[in-house]
Amino acid sequence: MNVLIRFLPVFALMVNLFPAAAAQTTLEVLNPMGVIDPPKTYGLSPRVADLAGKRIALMHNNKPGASNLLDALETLLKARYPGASFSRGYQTQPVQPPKDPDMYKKAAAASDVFIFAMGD
Amino acid sequence: MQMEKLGVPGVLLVSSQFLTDARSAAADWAMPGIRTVAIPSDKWYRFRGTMDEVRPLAEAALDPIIKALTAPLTAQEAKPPQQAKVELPPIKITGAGYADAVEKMNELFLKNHMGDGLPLVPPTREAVDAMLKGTSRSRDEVIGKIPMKFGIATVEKIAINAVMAGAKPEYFPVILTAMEAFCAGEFWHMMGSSGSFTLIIMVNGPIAKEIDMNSEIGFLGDCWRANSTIGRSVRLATRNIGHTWPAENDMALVGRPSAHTFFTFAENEAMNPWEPYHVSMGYKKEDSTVTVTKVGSYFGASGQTVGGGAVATWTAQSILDGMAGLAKSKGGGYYTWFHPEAAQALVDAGFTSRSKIQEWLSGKTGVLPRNISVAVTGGVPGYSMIWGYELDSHVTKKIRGATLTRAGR
Repeated sequence: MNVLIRFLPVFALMVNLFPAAAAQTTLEVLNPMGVIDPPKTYGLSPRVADLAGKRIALMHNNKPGASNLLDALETLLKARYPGASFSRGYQTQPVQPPKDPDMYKKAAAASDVFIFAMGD
Repeated sequence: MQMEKLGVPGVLLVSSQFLTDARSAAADWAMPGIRTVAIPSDKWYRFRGTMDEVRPLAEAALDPIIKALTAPLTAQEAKPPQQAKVELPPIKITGAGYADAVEKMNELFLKNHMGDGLPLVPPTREAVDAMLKGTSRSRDEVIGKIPMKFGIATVEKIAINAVMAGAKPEYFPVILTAMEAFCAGEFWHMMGSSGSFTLIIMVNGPIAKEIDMNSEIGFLGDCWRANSTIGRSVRLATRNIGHTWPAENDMALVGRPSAHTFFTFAENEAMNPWEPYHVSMGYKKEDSTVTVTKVGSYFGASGQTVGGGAVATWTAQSILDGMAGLAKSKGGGYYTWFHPEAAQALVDAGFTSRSKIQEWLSGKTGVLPRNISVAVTGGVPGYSMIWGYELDSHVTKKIRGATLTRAGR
């Protein structure tokens, strides 16, 4: 007992110098993100071998600049593919579907490939 | 994507800053492999003004465009794997004590694009169960799908976000109804547009007073827990359930006004000389409702004051004239907010009902009377304001299923 009393301050000091590891806390929280029901995925359409002689639709979303870019591209493509033809006038509204609900069908029927420029 | 689905190969030209957004949208709309050519953003916005200026960018893009149209498809492009539905189980976070665990949770959530940058309350099962006690509706009920990625908004998912926002269970029926209104309208554009659109969330009926919503001085501001956390709950629920993140698929360039809580308040029915807004929409006075509206940012479509305040003088007629001068668009609607004194002055001038305001403004602007919403907002003194909105993004829904308030049951 005497030995214990004599060494008690030493034990106390050791406890202070080497405190027990702080108690760990584990939180289990629920995930706030929405579960997504993935839609059926679609593959791309087969590419063309060459643009020579092809009907190229130049489309845009009606935001500033897109039409200028297509003008420049049309000039460059004409120079490289003199036999290609170009159609314009297929464009969406800035944030909404095209005014003509059949626009894509008409564009697809009249084109072999398309280039769609986003003006954003 | 419509063209590709119709069998025509194509390429999308997009500014490099929008490339992540474009690819994300392509995946959302079921065509993850769409071919793109990025135009450098640091030049695009400076040089797109004329064909001559933009020509060097077109020259640089020409070969990649030709390659995108002619290089054979990879097997994955031709037949991309069907994405599986991913379940989102609970998350365990361990820290050296509670405060450390909460801090670690906040870091983890932000790193994984869940949150809004302010500290979040941990959505433990117990806290979410307590939130769900605010409604009699089933936790599994689906309220709708949230853009941009169309995550499924169940009652429970909304409750998780409401806990994170710091809302009280008695607010939850209001939050649920705001989300119902959001899902019933067209709010996809607001969630990702570069125009930084935001939401107005207006609460009507007796529940507003019961949960202590501010409807007077400072009604669009902070310091009211109900206003702040109802709006923050809707902000977090739309962002997290819809999987959106700034500069990825939320392209709001300058950030939304009132980005953390939207503009959330109650109509000042006590100082309203007319019938409350929801009554004008066909609901009973004792009903409680939430009206959610997409409005503009810092640009033309945002709210503008048209008189009132504690400095300049005004008249009822000057306020009406100011609104008529700003209501230029015939295709949309206008949200007119009259401060209480203006509403009383208008009554004194013979505008004894909301419909007379609607008819007068319609006569001056050509906007249909039914597309002019009239509310009384703010305190004394206050400001009158006018906001433009699109007709399919202005939706009112009745609150139901409340269990902790007398109203909204």
